[in-house]
Parts: sequence; C-alpha cells; structure tokens
Amino acid sequence: MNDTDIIALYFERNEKAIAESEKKYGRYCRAIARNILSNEQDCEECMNDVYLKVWNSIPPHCPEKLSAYIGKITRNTAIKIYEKQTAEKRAGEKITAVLDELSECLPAEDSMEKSVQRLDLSRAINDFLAELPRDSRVIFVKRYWYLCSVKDIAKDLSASESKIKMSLMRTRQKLKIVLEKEGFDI
Amino acid sequence: MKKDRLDILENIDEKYIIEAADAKKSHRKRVFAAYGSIAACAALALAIGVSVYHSPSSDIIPLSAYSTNVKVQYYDGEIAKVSSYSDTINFSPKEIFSMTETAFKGTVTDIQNIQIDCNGIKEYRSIATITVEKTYRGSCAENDVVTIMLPCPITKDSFWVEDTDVVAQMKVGTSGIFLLKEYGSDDYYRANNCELLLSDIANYGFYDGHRFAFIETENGLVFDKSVHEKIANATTLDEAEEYVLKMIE
Repeated sequence: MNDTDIIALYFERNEKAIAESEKKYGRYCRAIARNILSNEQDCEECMNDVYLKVWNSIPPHCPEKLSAYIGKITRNTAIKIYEKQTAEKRAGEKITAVLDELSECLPAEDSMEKSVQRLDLSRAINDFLAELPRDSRVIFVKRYWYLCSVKDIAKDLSASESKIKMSLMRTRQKLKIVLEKEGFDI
Repeated sequence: MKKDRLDILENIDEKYIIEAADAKKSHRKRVFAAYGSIAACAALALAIGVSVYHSPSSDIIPLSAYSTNVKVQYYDGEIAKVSSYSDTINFSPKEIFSMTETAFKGTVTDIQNIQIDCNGIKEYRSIATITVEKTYRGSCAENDVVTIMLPCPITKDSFWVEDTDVVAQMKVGTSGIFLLKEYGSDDYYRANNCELLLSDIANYGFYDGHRFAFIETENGLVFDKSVHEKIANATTLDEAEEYVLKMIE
C-alpha cells in the first residue's frame, strides 16, 4: 500500500492504518529505536507509543513523507524513553558517545535564546548539509540522526570504521567553523 | 544538558533523512565491484541480513540540493499522458558509437515507473536496475548493479512514446546490450522552472529509446534495424555483440 492510501486510512479513522504502517515501516522504525534503546522490551514500548502518537496526530497532520514523519516520531519517542532511563540510572552507553561528539560542534540549547535562535540554527545546519558531499552527509545523518554505531555505518556503506570516523571528525570540524562564523557559541 | 543537542538535529531536512536511509542501495555497486560475483552476493546478503539499520520502502526518491523545485517518486498508478522524448537528429552508426560513453551487456532485475513533478507538471519515466554481465566500454564491471533511466514509463498496455519503441519493451528478465550516457554533474532535466540532477535518480541514461539498445524479447531480438543496417538480419544477442565489438574498436 502506498503512503497516500495509508494516510487516507488514518483520516478515515480506520485502525487498519496502524497495521499497514507497521507492515511498511515497522522494521525501519524498530531499527531506529534499537539504535537508542537498550533492550527489545523498551523498543516494543516505544513502538506502541509511536503508533499512538501517529494515530493522534494524523489528522490534523497530513505528512508529505510518511517514512520521515514516522521515523521522526520514533526517534523522539525513543529519546524520551532514554531520558527517563537516564533519570532512573538504568540507561546504557549507547548514545553517550554520540552526545560527546556533538558537543564538539553544536551549541547547548541552554546557551541559546530559544525559538528564534534555534530556528536559525536549524536553517544553518540544513544549509551546511546541502553543501556537503553526499557520502559525508549520509554518514553524518546516520550517526547523529539515526544514532547508528560507527560499526553499523561502516557495514552499511561497505567502508572501514576508520574511514567513517575520519569523515565524521572532518564534518564536525567543518560544522563547528560554519556555525561559529554564523555567530553561534560552541 | 547534553541531550538537547539531539533535539537540535531533529529538524534536519526530511530529504536527508530519507537519503541516509536509502544510502545502502546506492552503495551496492561498490560492494559488487569490490568482491566479484559469488563473494559479492554473499557479502551483500550478509550486510543486509545482519545490518542494524534497514532502509524504509519510501516512494519518494531523495534528491540532492542541486535538484530544485522538483519531486520524484516511484509511481504505480495509471499514466494519462507522456510527453515525447524524441530526438529527431539522424545519426549514423559510427556517430552513435562515438557518442556512447558506456556500453555493456546485462539483464534487467527491476523496473519501476517514476513520476517527475516539476512545479505541478508531471512527467513519467522509469528506472531499470541492471546487473552487468560484460562491459565493452566504460568503468562498470561484471556483476555491478547499475540503474538506467528509461525515457518512457513501462506499462502492461502498449504505451506509445515516440522514439522509445525498443527500450519500452524492456521488462524484468530482459537481457540486452545497452549504449549509454553516464550521468555526471552537468546532466540536468529542466522543465517549468525546475532542475533535476539526473545522477540523483540513476547512474546512466539513454540518448534515445530506440537506437541505443539491442534487447532479447519473446518476439526475438529487437533493435533499430533501419539504423544498424549491417546486422538487420541478426536474431541473437551474440550477433549484436559481435557488431557492437566491431563498432567500438
């Protein structure tokens, strides 16, 4: 079933929408959740929340790209579960390394006057990504959006882990320079 | 708190999210080129089988920032209208082979129609995935998996698009010899104030859909006999191959 038909089911309030979403994007979303969360039970909890959020948000939303829309909700939901685990001191080490790497090139949100500056930052990051060579951009997004491990990215792209690490380091350095030029305090 | 940096990246453009998800597909060619036939198949199967990350089956083809005001998606609906892709310039066989940048023999493993939406004006083409069996010119190697944009959609009904009568007969399983242009950074499709970098959607394209292919079909060998007169009576791909090799020399 194509995305338009699945979205139409959500608008009709037909519960088949969830089954079709799971059929088409379940594997994709679970892969995102597993990159962030420690165990299968947490992933299943995450996916239940995801489908509830999608059900409650379509309508009124009518996403143009359903894969990216459900993917974003999965990422956010998994990160929220991760935060809860952190508070309860039972989080794994999975995304600690990612956060450490990002601290080299992105400002902390509490250092920004929220909303307006955050919008500017999002625009600057998107402009930066548009200028990157495709391979570097793919590696960056896999690592910092999908939170994939360096090992998995290397496997996916048939490259060595050292090549992936080098690409990430160069991209972070470039991003830091670009954002500092735009006036962000890293 | 460090975690808010993850939130900052939440709003990156969706096209980059989809691009990264689909990236594994476009790297297949390198996997095959690196390992050779059986080992490559095993390596790819293993990579897919054990990968933590899986690509979504998105209908939308992610495009680079060089493509503007355009959206491309796989399309399985009815097609009401197709514009002509005709190139009416006459070429001699010698000119055809001198224009050809890449020539290889291969078998079609997949064909999907695409819809190119240029600011509301919709055009239809198709993308064929082909496993290369023998290269006569160009950089691709045996067992590479490459994509070719066809100048027409493929439909069950005979759908007439001018100058595409040979490639329009391609389907999954079709073997053929293809004379192609490799898409690079200067190759754009432009219409209605939109620009599509063709390498965003395929590795190669045809100069036209009838003079640049020799394909084996249920009805025999199909090619433009009026142009390739020297082998007008050819019935097998081997005969076409012999001709292509002579012309390329």
